[in-house]
Amino acid sequence: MIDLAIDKTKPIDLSVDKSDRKEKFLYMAFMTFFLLAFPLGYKMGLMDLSTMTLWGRYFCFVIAAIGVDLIWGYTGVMTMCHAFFFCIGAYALGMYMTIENMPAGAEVPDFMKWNDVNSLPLFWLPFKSAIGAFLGGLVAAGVFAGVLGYLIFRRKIKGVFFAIITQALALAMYLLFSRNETMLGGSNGLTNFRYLFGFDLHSENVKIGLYIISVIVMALVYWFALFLTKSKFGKILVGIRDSESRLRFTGYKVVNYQTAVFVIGAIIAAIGGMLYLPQTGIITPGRMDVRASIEMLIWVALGGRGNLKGAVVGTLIVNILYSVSTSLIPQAWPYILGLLYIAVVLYPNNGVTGFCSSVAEKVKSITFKKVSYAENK
Amino acid sequence: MRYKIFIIILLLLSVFSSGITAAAGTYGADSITSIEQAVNIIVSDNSELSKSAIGYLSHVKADRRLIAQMKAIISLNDEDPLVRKSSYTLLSGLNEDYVTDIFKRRMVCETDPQLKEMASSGYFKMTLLKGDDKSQKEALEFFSSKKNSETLTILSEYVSTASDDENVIAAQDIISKIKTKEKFINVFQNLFSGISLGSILILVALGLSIIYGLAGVINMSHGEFLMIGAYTTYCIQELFIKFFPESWFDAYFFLSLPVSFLVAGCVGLILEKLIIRHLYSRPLESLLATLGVSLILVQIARNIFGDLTSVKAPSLLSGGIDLFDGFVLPYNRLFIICLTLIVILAMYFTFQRTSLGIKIRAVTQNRNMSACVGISTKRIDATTFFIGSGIAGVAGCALTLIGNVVPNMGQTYIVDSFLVVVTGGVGKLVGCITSGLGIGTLSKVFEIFFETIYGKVILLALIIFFLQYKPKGLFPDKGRIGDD
Repeated sequence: MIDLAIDKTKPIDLSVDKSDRKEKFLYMAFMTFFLLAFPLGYKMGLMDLSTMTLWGRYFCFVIAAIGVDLIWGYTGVMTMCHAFFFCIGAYALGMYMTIENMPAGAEVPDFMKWNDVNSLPLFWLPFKSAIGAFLGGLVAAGVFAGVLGYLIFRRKIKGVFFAIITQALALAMYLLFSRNETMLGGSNGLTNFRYLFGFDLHSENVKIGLYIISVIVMALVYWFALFLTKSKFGKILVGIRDSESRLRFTGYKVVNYQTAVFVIGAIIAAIGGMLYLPQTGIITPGRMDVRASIEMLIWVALGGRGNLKGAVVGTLIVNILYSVSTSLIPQAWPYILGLLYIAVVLYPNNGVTGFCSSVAEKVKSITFKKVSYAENK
Repeated sequence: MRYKIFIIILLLLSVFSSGITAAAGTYGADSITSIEQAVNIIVSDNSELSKSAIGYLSHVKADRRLIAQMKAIISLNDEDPLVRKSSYTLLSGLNEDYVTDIFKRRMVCETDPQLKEMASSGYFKMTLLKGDDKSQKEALEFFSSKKNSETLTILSEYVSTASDDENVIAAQDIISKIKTKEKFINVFQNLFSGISLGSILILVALGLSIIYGLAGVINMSHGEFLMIGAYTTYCIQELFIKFFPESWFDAYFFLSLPVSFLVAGCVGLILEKLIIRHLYSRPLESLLATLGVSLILVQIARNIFGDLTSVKAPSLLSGGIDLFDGFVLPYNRLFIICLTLIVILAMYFTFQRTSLGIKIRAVTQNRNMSACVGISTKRIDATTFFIGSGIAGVAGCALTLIGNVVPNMGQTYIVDSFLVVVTGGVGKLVGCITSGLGIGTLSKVFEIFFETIYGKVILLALIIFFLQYKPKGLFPDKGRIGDD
């Protein structure tokens, strides 16, 4: 009888791995830096308030990118309308804030008055209350993603066709939201916010507060995504990415899983959008056009698909690069971005995190070789 | 107070006296003494005296509009038909009695047939609105044979002002006939626009479909090849303006068709060798990479050419066939449709009858087996990419006929052409043609009923719905193709 090495009396303990400890240390370091160092740096005068808000916005993008990573990195479904879900969240909160910030006694926001609409359209009503706005945004994103996803996935449309359809959808939604008849501000979008829940958005403490909230929510979303990916659900997603038909043959209803992850990704993006708006002060249809969605894909691709750290790293790198190059050499940004797209695709080392882990492997193998030499001698 | 009255009288006297002196200093030997007399002279078509009459009018600084009208009457005798045309247009807006006589005279002695009709309609318009019953009947008879939108305006004016029952009923009858005719024409006009748009989509989507079918590569920079073709045309136009004589100008367009094909094809070849080569059968990655390429290409174009250039269409292709009133088939769109047909035929011929075509089809169906049989897949890939991009270049050249040449002109058509590829099935000519025509016509039809944007949204919804039943498009690849 072959002695199977697995000892069935002891539970398999996965957490005491060395690499796991390293990861935990990484997380701690990351959170400490952004939660403590940044605000401290600001208080000491080392950092600008606007830089902090910028980083707050970056973290909202990170939240959306985590959603994209779940859908694309783990499930292999390339979605090109994710920016639209991001904007649904932003618009939802935007509607609430528009109502909150209307001059006293006004029935409708300015842009509606200019279009001869004198009472709030029906779909604005749920957004009059804060809870309504939050739930409305999340539900809208979720329902839209659910219906769209189900209709497309049940016909096993995947890969390129799915990408093209979501791209066309993103374009159509962008055009639709740019119209005045949609009663969402048209191409000017929703803007002119001063107060949120009574807090003055221009005040320093509120901005710091929003930054800290962004970091915390990002951490929460990250841990949720981590929990998902380590669970059975996550393993099935990876199975869908690697070999969909085989998974189907083993009895899993792939449609349900794909739709579920699509909805989850959409809701996560909506959350990111809601945090984004108070820190930017404006939401326009330009944020949901096709280019914006594709940029989200590049964030994840650069950072490394299929592991959540990649989403974080990639988003931060690309956005920092964007801020730097647009302030120094704005003309060059399309070239940089284009080269980035090409480089990310052509060098299949799975982005930055893949590169890092392959380097780590090489280092390990060198040290390992040394050890085995010593043993053989 | 008295001083004020004195000053006013003084002013009046001066004006009066200057008027008299002006009148006294009349122009020419003939004694034209009043504006009315001048007008009468001109209206009675007295050519020698008319000149002095005009001079008189400008001398006494008569109302500028009056002078313009009088000049128009005189220029009715001009030789250039365009001058006469503008006179007719000006005079038909007038309501004076003498206009009737002028038009009546011109009806008879006008030589140009189109202008003769203008004169007749002007005359009958006057008689309809002002003449007696008999002449109104005459006018109505004339208008019932000449049903167009002009007549519609004239008759509507008549119906709203006239009181005679019998003639009004006859006029209304003619009006309703004109309206049905216009609706009928609208349908055809929209059908034609749909076919025209469809042909453009086909041209753009053809290259895309071939490349995707063969190489499994989605080329998001396909729109940029369109732009390259258009800019090539622009450059050739500039060359012709600088170096070649005027009379050869029209030839630039026909020269630029093959040149755009070559230029776009070569750029495609370079792209293939550098980037696409590494991305075969990885459509999603190629999507991203070619997107990067498109960003770079657009920015290059913007840096070289600036943001707005335009290409003049060759005069051969301006204007159109005037089928019947109001229904014009512009020559440029007809040209594009013919070009599409030629390209489709060329593609069909290449694919079905040449050895290159058979190799392309083999590699599309089974890459590994074709390689085993001895086909150089690398070379076929490069050639196909060249052809596909070349077709896009030709499409871009054709697009200069109907639009401006801007760096991001490719973006307008790229999403639609992708939808054409998705609905038509990949790699098949037939699929591309059918879905291109279908989507083109449907978008135009939706434009009539809804606004363009809602039409786009509805079209998209329809496509998603359609894909529920035919997920691989209208003409899918048959046979078992491994998914993983």
